[in-house]
Amino acid sequence: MADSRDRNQQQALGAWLEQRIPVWRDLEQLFKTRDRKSDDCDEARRIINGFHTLASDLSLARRNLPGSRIHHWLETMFLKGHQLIYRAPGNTLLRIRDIYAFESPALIRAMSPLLINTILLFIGAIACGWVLITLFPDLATLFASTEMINRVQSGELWTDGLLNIMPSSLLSLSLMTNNITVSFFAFSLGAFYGLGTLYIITLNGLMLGGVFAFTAHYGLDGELFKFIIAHGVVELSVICIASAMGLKLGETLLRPGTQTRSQAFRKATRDAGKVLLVAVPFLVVAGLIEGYISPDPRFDLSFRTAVGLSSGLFFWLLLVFGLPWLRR
Amino acid sequence: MEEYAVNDLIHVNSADAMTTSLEIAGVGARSYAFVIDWHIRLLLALVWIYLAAFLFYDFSIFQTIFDDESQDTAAWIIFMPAAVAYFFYHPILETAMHGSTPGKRIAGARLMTLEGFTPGVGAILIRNIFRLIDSLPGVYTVGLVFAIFTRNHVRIGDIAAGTVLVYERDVDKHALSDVARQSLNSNLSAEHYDLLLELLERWPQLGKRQRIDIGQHFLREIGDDFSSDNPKQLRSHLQQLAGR
Repeated sequence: MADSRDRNQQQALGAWLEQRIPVWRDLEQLFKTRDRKSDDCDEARRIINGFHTLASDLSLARRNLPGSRIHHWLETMFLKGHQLIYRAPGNTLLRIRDIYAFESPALIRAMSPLLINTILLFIGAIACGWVLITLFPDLATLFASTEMINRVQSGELWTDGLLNIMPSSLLSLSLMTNNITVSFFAFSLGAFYGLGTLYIITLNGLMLGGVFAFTAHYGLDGELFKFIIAHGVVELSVICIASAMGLKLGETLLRPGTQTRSQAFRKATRDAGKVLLVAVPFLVVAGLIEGYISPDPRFDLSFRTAVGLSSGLFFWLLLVFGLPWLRR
Repeated sequence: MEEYAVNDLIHVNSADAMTTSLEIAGVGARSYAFVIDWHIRLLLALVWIYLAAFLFYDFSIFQTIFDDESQDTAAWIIFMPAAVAYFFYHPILETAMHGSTPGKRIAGARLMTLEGFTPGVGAILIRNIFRLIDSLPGVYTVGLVFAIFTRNHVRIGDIAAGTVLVYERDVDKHALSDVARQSLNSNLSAEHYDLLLELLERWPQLGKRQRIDIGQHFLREIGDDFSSDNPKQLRSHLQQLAGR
């Protein structure tokens, strides 16, 4: 009796497979050959209908043939169909345009209080560094290497003759890498409840203030300003923005609101990613300026100031207002 | 599927009220893939540096390139592509290979979003930015600790991007033909047929004694009275049963 039932079951399964296999083959072919840019409604309808029948076949296979090859094959096809039908359509270039023109400026404006606070924190740290080294010059070793200190004490900046040490291209490349790394660190360390970001922004501010105070002690602060001004406006702006994003990340983890912590974390990083996509390429520009203009004695202060202010102005205008002449 | 899974699973819910599961790749697969990728990108960068120097200049350029301003163009040509290959290896390849890289492919794994889709460019970039803290304080300690203790075995970058590393389903491209053959020509049940195909696939890796023992055991199980101590004859009989 049981044997006969098994035989019947086997035959039914055979008949079912015999009937379904040609349909699955067609669907597999359709998944492979579909044209992503095609607006053929008939093809789309065949894919959607095929996917629905595939789902019901998968249910049957799960019940009657669990763990079998056909079960695995149907699962794989189901995932392919799921990806094909339900994944949001995407046009990368249009997305980037939207991020530059609308999304990033909206995010920057929405978080302007935090951004202003971050900039104030950075300025505060610069002031603290300045006061600290002015009052206790011996502490300069905290922020500057022995070689830097020796050169300043002998009346020259460590940046003098930088181009004799390596060509501008290598200098730019290493500075770009370093600045991008610092910005990404400032942002991503926000994952430690914002503490990592606070450390980075405060440390950078203290160093900048401290080094200025130290060079001022030897009358070289003007030379240092002359070196920094061309690339510094953009560079420090990006670091402040990345830090503000990091602090936002930390705040999100502390106060996720109505979302779960991981949902809120994902949303905050997605938003930060959009802003960083606009801001970070400017570090490439800053790196080129720092490699080609800043160490070159042929450029005078007024030219450097013009470069610094114009690049900074362009950066902030793009970041805050986007591309207002474009429409969604 | 779950009863056969060795590793943790991630469940993908579709809008059709169907749920499918994928096996999550653990720390071992993750590290294995990373080590392979690291070697490949290092090799790519070094090969470019030497190839560019050999093709466009000569090897003596390395003696002057670091301290001669006139070698500016040479420095760009030699080092810029190498830096791009090394630093952007993961984002570029993960985007181009739909969530995979050569290392991940060798480890049999690929990236997927929690919703079961191939991750987009944004998610891949975010995932890679967080490499900086996942690699702290060295040798990916933070990333490894997170991958060990988190539910989906993900590092911080994956949590941020909403991605997970899963095992690629290794589906035989002949699976459908095999099943068709079985349904049309074979008297074996689907379970037995699967077992037979698996035995034939693993045949080359088995020793002589194992081939005979397992083969005979399978034949007894399906009520076939063929018997032989010669692995070649046994294999040919099994292939006949499978219709191959």
